Amino acid sequence: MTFESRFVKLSPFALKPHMAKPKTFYDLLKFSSLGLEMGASVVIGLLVGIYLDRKFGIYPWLTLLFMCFGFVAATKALIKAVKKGFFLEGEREE
Amino acid sequence: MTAETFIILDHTPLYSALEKIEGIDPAPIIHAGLVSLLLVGLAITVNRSYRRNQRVLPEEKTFTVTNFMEMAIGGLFEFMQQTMGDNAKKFLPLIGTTGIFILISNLLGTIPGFDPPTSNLNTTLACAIVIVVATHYVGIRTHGVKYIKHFLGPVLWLAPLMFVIEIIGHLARILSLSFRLFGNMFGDHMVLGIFMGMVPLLIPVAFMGLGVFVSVVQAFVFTLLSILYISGALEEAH
Repeated sequence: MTFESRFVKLSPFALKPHMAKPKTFYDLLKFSSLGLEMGASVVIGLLVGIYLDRKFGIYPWLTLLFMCFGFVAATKALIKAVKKGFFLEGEREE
Repeated sequence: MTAETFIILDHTPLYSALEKIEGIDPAPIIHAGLVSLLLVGLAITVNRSYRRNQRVLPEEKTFTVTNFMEMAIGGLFEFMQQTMGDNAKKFLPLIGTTGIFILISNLLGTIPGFDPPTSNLNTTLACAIVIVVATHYVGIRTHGVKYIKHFLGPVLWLAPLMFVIEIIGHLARILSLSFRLFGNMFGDHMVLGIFMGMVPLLIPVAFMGLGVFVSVVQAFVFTLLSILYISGALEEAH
């Protein structure tokens, strides 16, 4: 069993084996943007939290909260990319 | 800068005039202006060649600027049609402009004596903000008030939470779009500069080849991501 087919079996996003491969170079580039976007989400959350904490003067709490929002946003970006990337070129199952 | 690099445009009267204004760095402004002038020159050349020939496809035996532009714009248009369908024609001016501006800015860095304007965060941030603002403008134009559904997620009682998270995600897009381009070009230029200072013979050629590759790939990634963002704003919310 190849790594890809095992991943397809474990993945919650559906899955015929032939869909799981990135078909072109473009698809690989799409995924390459994911890493930075996930990192940036956490940083943005952190910055917003620090700004709001300074404004209201309740130091650790909003920073922590918004950093968690950042983590969730990062995970959401990942899920979105996987969902979009695994159904390439009109093979999306509704 | 660690390496002593000679930048041609740093020795022009325009540079010393801009230097007197407080709080700005004249180098990227001048280089971005240079790239814009190059683009205007390119556009005028291609336009004149079309006018002169009075036909859609100029039959030129050699490889000219006109042929190159035709190839580039045609390729970009076909690629956009695959992703956006009929909307491609509407967004070709915006995406093509940013794409070619970034490509030529990046490639300017591989010519010794020039700084790429994209190795400064201000230039890339400007491009990223233009793209993201255009994305939301397009979304509001096509969907009206319903565009807010893109931000609310599928579950009603989670909507306020999802709104905050989506806003963070959209701000992260600006950050990642600008920082990827800036980081790649800045790093590439820095490596080239340092190796030029250390071993001026033969070794920098390898890094110049790498520089051309990175320039093209980064310009392409920027274009690809802007196409993806805009087509994401165009489609219906689930």
